[in-house]
Amino acid sequence: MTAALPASRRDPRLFADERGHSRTGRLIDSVSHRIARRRRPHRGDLRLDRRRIYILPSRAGLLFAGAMVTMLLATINYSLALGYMLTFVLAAVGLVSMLHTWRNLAGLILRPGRADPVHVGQFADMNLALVNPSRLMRFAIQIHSPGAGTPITHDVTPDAEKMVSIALPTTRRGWLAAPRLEVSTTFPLGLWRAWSYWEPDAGVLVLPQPETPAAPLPVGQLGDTVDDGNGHGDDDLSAIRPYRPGDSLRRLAWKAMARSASGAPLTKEFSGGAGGETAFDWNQLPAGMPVEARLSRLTRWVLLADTGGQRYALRLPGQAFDADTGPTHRERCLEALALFDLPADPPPDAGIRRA
Amino acid sequence: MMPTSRAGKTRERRLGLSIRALGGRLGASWERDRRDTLFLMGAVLVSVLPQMPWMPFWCSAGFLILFVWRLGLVFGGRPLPGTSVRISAAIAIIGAVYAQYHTLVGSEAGVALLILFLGLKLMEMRARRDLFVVIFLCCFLLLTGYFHSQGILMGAATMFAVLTLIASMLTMQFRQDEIPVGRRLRYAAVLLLQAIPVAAALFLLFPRPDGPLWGSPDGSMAARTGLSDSMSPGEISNLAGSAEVVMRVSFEGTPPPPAELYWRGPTFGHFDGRAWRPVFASRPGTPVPEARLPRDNIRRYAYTATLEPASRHWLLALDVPVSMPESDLTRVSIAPTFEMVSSERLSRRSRYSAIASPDALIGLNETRFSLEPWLRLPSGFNPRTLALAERWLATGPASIERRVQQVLAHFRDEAFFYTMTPPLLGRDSVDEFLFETRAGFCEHYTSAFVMLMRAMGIPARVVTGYQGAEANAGEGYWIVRQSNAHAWAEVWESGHGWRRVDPTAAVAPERIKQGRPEQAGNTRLAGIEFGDQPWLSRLRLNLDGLTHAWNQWLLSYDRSSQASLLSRLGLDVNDWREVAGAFAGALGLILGVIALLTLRPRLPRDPVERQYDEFCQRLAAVGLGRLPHETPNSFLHRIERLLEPEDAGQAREIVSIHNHLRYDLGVTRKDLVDQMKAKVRAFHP
Repeated sequence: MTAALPASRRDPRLFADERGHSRTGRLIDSVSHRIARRRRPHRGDLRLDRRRIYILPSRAGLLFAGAMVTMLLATINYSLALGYMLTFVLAAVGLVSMLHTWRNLAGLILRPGRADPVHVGQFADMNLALVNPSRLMRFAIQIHSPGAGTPITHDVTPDAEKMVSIALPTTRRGWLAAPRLEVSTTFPLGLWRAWSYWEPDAGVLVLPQPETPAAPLPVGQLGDTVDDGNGHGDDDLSAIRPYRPGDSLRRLAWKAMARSASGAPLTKEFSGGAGGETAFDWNQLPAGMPVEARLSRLTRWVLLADTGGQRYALRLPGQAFDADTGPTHRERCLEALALFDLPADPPPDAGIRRA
Repeated sequence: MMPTSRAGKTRERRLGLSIRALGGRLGASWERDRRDTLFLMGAVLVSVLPQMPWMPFWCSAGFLILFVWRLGLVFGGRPLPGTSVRISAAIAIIGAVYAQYHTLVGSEAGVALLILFLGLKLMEMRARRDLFVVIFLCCFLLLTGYFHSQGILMGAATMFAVLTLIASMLTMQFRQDEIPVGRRLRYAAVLLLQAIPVAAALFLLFPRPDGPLWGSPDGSMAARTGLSDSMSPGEISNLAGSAEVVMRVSFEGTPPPPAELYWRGPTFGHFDGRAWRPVFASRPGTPVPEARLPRDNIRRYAYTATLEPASRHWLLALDVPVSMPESDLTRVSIAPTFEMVSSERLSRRSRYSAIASPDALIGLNETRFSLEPWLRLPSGFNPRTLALAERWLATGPASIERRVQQVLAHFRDEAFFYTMTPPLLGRDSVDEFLFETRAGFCEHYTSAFVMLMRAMGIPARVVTGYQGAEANAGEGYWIVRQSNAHAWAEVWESGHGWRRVDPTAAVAPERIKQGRPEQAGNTRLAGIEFGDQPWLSRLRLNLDGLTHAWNQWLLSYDRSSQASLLSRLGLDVNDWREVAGAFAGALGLILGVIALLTLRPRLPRDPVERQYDEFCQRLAAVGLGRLPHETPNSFLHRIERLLEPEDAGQAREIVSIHNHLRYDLGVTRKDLVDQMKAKVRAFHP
């Protein structure tokens, strides 16, 4: 289930349950702990400096070295003075190109960007920025997560940044940590390959898959809510009042706003039908229903209610969200569903947490 | 961009068309692949052209057919030929090369195969790896050009080809934006220029091995100047003296003076009117070679020679050899004409020790019968020369020494010139030389001299070999080069045997004294042919000087020059650790300097930006770093409360100048920038 991720994942605790508590399991735990500590995900911008860039001859570089050796042997055998010159000039170009390959990567800054939550099965787009703070044009920078997908190639102009997005397959709900990424280049001659690893401290919230086909919304189950009894259902327009933060945009009274002199936002208020508000309660679901199916159904209901502009409450074992409406409420509910019964990961950078 | 191969694109053309019609990305990259392929093909052509003059016609034609075929495919957007076509073409190529050379190995057949397979490889450029293979084949092809010429022009042509090959490698790496050709070439030139110091260090310090690693360079390469099986004055119009080393000699004790350094090679006695050839050696009645020492206290020179490989049989002996050479060679003998001959071809570097004495007498045991071949002249050739000899004979009887002096005086007193580039001669080569052109080099003088001697009834013969040597004083040895090649004469006199006479010395004595043919010859030549155009002669001399320097410094740099360079640097050549250390040190140092020059951090170009960065750094030093999202104003707003009042005032001024420059003016005004600079300097929060 974590096949898409490299071995040194962000949090070794994720593996703890699966491995049990055998001796081997503990050993692997401690090793992966150590690796994880050494290769901690990098928070914020990462500048590729001397210690982070690795460089080795590429396959073409090895072929080139072979060609140079052959040329040198021929030169020696036929004692060609100019042959020495030609061979050494070519070999020197190869050596110098190593510096250029290295320089093409050195000093580049990798900046994590925002990632929108997706549902299980969808591709999550990790957004990243390649920042080139120098006067040097960076050609053909490749970025990919090793073992998944083909590399994307980018040129980055001087004093500029380039947005890159990497599609990650999602297989389970929860926080999907950004995988270890490999940033590499073979520019200028393709004889050397310089690369660096980057494990951004970023993640994507993967929400449970909404149930399909959707089960009908439960109605009138909100007996003991904080609601005052007037109801805020959808059936009849009861009043128009000034906008309050948290009101759904779908309930804005556009016509009334156009007519009013101030143009201040107004919200339509409805008097609901029976019950008026809806509560999505884990415990009200059929008894034999598996955990993931329950989460799927609840997710679908939250989405449906949100689309309808309805007020809803969500009750899960151990947590409850009072009836409310609006994007903030939706995000909080979905996050709770996504992370239900999962170890609470340290949340990644705030900017990524909510889209 | 999709990293599909160029060649694959042409195959997908029919599919590609529709996508291109819709303006898809594949279409754009297909067009670009085509241009990139053309660029690579240009580089291939530039690499092949310098080799064309030495290739058989059919081979050049074969390559050009393949090249034009490929060009047609690129322009027409048609698919590359299938496997069966390529395999039959490969078989045809191998067959043709075998038919021409009767072998598939060796340098000539190898080059022909290389060129034709390069042409064929153009048909098989599908993956990125194929492109690299094409480029590396081109590099190897450039190397093979040096089998034939290592001149300045060849060097320049290959360097240009290298530049285009590097630019094609670059072209393959630009995956996104297409970079203009000029910029690609400029980048390649930068790489090449930065590589030159590294290449120079490699050239100077990389250990040079001693000899060929396998087999020998075959005959076509060795036959340039120097010794050959015959001598035909008048058929060669330009004796390009190459600086190639023939052998190196070290003497035990005092070396002989340069004028005594005659290195004996093959002796020629059979003249057919144009060419001198050896006399058939195993003729019955030929006396055994015998050197007699006239007295006890003669001069003796013991030496050890290291002969460079050449596919010849002769060991070069200092005149006159008085001992059998000691060497590890099998079956070395001294021929009746006193040349040292090995029964095997000297295709390896060979080393031998021998003793020579210029005072020894040879050929005292010749008989009338054995002298007969050295008197023969072809009938019906060179009548005027014969008439001249008749005239001299008619002046009355004279000693052989007087006859010799008569001829030499003729060369000296009449207007004879020494030149390395004499005019070509016709049927009666000696006549034309003696009476018309009167310009030539050693072969012409020797040929005319021997002919005149024989016409006056004196046994005479042509000896070829080398004269002179270049002292390598520091190392205590002498270098004999191809440019030292020489021909001289021997006349026989009863009681003296064969005696050496060098007619060239009569015309160009400095040639003999210094052992430096080029300088003496070319100044005179300039006087003859370009006397009325001084600029042309100056240009010619300058070009010659350039060639000489090229030969001197680049082509003749070898193991011994390397040894003397290293010893001048205070390193022991034989201690590989020292040499390896120096080698690694020099490489590291040069790469380090290049790295410093290319990798140093580059500051923002904009002066305003630079001053603002400095301002921010000064604030960061006191803990008030600018946050990435802060604009100058919001930054100022945040920090001004935290600063001392006067510092805050300064900060406000700096930010206001910055904003004025940045947002109001839109141009950089120098006075304002200077003002800002001064304020930033004075800003010490």
